[in-house]
Amino acid sequence: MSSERRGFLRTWVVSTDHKVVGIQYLVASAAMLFFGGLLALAIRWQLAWPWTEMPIVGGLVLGESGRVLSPAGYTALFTMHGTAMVFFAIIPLLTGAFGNYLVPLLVGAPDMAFPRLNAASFWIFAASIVLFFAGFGVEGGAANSGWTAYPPLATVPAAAPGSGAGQTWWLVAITVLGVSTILNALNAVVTIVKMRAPGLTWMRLPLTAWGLLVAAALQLSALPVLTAAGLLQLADRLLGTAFYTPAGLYVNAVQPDVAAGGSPLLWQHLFWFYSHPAVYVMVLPAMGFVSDILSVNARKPVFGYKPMVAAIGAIAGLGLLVWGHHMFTSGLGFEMGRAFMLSTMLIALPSAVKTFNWIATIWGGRIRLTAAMCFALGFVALFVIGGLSGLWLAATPVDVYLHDTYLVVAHFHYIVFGGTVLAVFAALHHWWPKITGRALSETLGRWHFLGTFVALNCVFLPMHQLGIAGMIRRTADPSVYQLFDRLEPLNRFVTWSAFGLMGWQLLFVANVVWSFLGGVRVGRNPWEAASLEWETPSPPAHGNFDSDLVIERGPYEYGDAAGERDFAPQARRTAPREA
Amino acid sequence: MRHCALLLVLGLLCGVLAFFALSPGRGWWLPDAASTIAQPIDALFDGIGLVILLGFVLVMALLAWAVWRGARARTDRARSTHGHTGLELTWTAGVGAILVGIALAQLPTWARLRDPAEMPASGVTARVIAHQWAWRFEHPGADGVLGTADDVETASELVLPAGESVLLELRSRDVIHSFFVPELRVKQDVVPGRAIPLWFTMARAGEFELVCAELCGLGHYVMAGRVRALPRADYDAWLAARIIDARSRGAEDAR
Amino acid sequence: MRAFPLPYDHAVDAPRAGHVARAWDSGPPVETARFGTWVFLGSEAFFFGGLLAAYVVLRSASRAWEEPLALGLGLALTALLVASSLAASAAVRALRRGERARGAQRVLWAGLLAGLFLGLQAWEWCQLLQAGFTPQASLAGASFYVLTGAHGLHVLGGALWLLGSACALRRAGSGSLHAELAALYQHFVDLVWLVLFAILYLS
Ligand code: HEA
Ligand code: HEA
Ligand code: CUA
Ligand SMILES: [Cu+2]
Repeated sequence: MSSERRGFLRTWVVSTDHKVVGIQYLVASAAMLFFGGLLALAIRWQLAWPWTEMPIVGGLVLGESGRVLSPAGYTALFTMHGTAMVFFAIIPLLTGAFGNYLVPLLVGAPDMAFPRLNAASFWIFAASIVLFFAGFGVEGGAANSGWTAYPPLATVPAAAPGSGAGQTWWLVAITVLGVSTILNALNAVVTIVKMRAPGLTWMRLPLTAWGLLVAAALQLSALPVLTAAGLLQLADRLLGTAFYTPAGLYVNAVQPDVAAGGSPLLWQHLFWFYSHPAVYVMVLPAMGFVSDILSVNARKPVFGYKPMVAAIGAIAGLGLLVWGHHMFTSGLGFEMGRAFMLSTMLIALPSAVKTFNWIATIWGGRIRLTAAMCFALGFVALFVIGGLSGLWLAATPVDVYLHDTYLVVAHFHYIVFGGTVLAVFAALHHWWPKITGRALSETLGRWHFLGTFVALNCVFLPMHQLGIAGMIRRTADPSVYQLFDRLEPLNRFVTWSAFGLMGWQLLFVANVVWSFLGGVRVGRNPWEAASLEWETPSPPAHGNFDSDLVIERGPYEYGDAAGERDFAPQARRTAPREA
Repeated sequence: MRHCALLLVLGLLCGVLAFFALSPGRGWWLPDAASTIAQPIDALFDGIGLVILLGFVLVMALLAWAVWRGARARTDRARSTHGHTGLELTWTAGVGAILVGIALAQLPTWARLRDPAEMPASGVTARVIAHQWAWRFEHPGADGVLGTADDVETASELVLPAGESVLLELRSRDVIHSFFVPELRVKQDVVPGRAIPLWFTMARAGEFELVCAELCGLGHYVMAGRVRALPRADYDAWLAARIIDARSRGAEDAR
Repeated sequence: MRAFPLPYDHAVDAPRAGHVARAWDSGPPVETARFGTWVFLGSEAFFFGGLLAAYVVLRSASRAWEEPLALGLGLALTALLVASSLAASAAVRALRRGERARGAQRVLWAGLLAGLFLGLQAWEWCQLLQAGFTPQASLAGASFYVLTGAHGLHVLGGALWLLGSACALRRAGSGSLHAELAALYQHFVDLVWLVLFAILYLS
């Protein structure tokens, strides 16, 4: 590779190649995923054996001094767990790592539209990670008002004893991250809209590209609102304004020395106006990966391509209109609650359409149960569980009971872990040969899938029962209430399973090592896939394509009609270059 | 390989079903209901639960069958189909109808819970004051008006008459809390700067745990309270005794 | 460990050096850059939309809302920003006709006028702060400073972009694309100001 002569720094650090930026994102956000997982283990330890000394993880997460958690420590734990996972792991994994790596390849472009901006967005992301960790080091510890940061808890420093500066660092980190994400999304949108290869019409775009495009559009429209809201909260904390602080507060029996008159619910509206769409940012690209992987490995076209595209659009469009379902018990009001309930019910429809189309895609296929395929099938099964429990939550009277219980926690972990994380593993197995030129072990991969699938169900399934029995989330010690006493065995079981789940991920690490040391070298198109990225060498050189392409058909021409092989590549190569 | 896949999907199906079937017997389920609104809420919970269950079983069964069949034949090619408009329309309309049904079914219950028109006209039974990390309660006393000398104050324990509709006024002194009594199936955030009404009818006398359900700082998890429901006569007696207490305490203070 | 399961296309072909030349190898073509700027402005619109929504909600929920702002000053500010925008337009028209020197001059003017706007606004802030209209004193104050502050930062960005492209126009053969995009940005900032002016000074 020509990169060998350019030196490590030029190749891996200051490069503007979208593939390098994607790999940088991958490494950084996988590290954050791992870190978020460690925090999750500390959470689980506390919930199973409250206020006892935490082995290993305790030393890592809490530092030597604090092996036994404090109440403030626990609130900081889940705050930082949620933040790390949502903002620093899952979204960057999907839109930063895979988004950057795949977008130009899928549309037949040599790079992103603005390569230097692209590199900048990674480095801004890196800076925001530093800011995120800086929060742990300040007086009073990290932010501890939940990943949702509801004021006045988050704005009146005296209300969250211990969180003096942590919340401010949290806000700054989120704002900086937002800038990075917006730049990244801008690049993705412009690249897909403006730099498609000749003949690549909208209806020939792979669903992965559609998912990434629509997710980026959601980011561009919803994220600036969170940035605005964050600025107001920063002003409340630093300038002493009162956008979110109502009048007449007595905190710790004294009237805090802050201005007053603002509205706490305003923050909730602005926060969820972004963070509800953000959950679809966490699932639309994943749905795209899964559509592609199912089609390749079932050797059948995606069933109902146009309805799939329409469903992606509908999820995004409606996604901007349902934020109030997080606020059914907040004092939102009767009519608003009803309106948001109706829109939330509607948004389940496109997801159902997608689910049935996935099943129809593999129906009657010639299925290759590769590791990627296993993970993709796992995604479908688990997304459905998470989505269906969303229907309980969307029903206003039922949500009155279930809101802020573990049923909510079960709901979204099924989607974000069972769904998105499995989709990420599917995508890693699928595109790893393209990214590195070497295959991952299929055997190890399938074992990794098997254990992960079993363990994650053991972790998240009982959370439904916890929630139905009324156990609230964000509680450091459920044994305070008699009502929750009988849930102790469940809590312990969940914790044991979580340790198993985390431990089992070592198989994936082993697989990565195995691949680098002895993985089979692969050619351009190991999966016999039809879409454009497989026209490039594995790994592609800077500039991606070594021949001109003319796109002649959609990305999913598999099966009997396709000619001598059982698939027809999307592109005809013209003017191939000889080495 | 495909045996393994089939086992997994079926295992998930059976595991989930078995676990859900087992849970109520262990007490890992909805706590015993104690308010009149609990009945329709639980009915909705069960009804939607049934829809969820059917949807889940359907999807898993289809998935398992497709994988089982699809992983068998390796030699010949799959039949290339790009879609089927009739099928798309069928499942869109089918699921749409179910969703609209669910949406409509819950409207009356939501109205009973939150429609201001349903608010009892009898006046406030008690004011709930939440603060970090405890509950305080004020009863208007004999004159039915809060803020007068015969107000009765209690801490941690909210005493209410059973069998009749009660109206609470929720206030917070500092951050957002949430008034949650699992057995009554009521939950309402308590937002500082606002007085939020909450009403319900307790179906039986008894003692119920009051839980703070909204993160309110490091003591969130200990912000427990109790709701005690008394038959009307006992409630009146309790209130009367407390009013005399409050008066005599007032008199002492004056001296 | 089993061999890789799919035998097809096993032959490893080394990536060939170089890549196929495309129009955008020498940097993004004008179309892409202009489209990107529009997308960015759309995103910015949501940012100000969020701030304005917050303003409307807070204001409609408050009983007292005092904004001791001088209409004359507001008009002056508006005039400066509109003038800057017009100068930027004129610059773009000149550049399209190929009159580079003239274009550069106009761009410079646009940047300077935006700078003047910032200066005047800073003066207004000082006056208001001294008069006791502080962000802490009332929600009206807090909203005023956050809205105009966020907008002012955007004006600053626009001014720097304009001045930078003026320099670029003087020196090399490029820069007219930059000037055009900076002008577009300046129009957007101007538009936002008109909305702010209407809700802050006129109501
Ligand atoms: C990727 C993440 C993701 C996704 C995709 C979703 C999808 C959905 N979510 Fe979820 N949600 C979260 C992440 C996500 N959510 C998070 C993180 C929270 C908590 C935040 C916090 O408070 O910290 C949350 C909270 C949350 C709440 C608030 C709960 C509360 O706090 O009280 C609600 C309420 O309506 C809700 C509803 C839904 C619905 C209806 C969907 C729908 O889109 C689901 C649609 C899918 C299906 C329905 C399944 C597929 C369909 C079929 C198999 C067909 C058969 C179906 C029928 C017959 C109907 N979610
Ligand atoms: C978005 C993603 C996400 C993910 C993936 C997870 C993963 C997990 N979460 Fe978390 N969680 C949230 C988002 C997420 N969570 C959010 C938003 C909240 C709410 C916070 C709040 O209330 O404010 C929450 C809250 C939350 C709670 C409730 C706390 C409380 O309310 O008191 C609990 C409790 O058990 C929990 C547990 C777990 C566990 C056991 C996992 C396990 O799945 C973790 C398993 C471990 C790993 C996934 C790491 C393995 C990875 C590697 C080894 C690297 C692999 C390498 C590559 C990918 C290349 N989470
Ligand atoms: Cu009060 Cu939680
Ligand atoms: Cu939501």
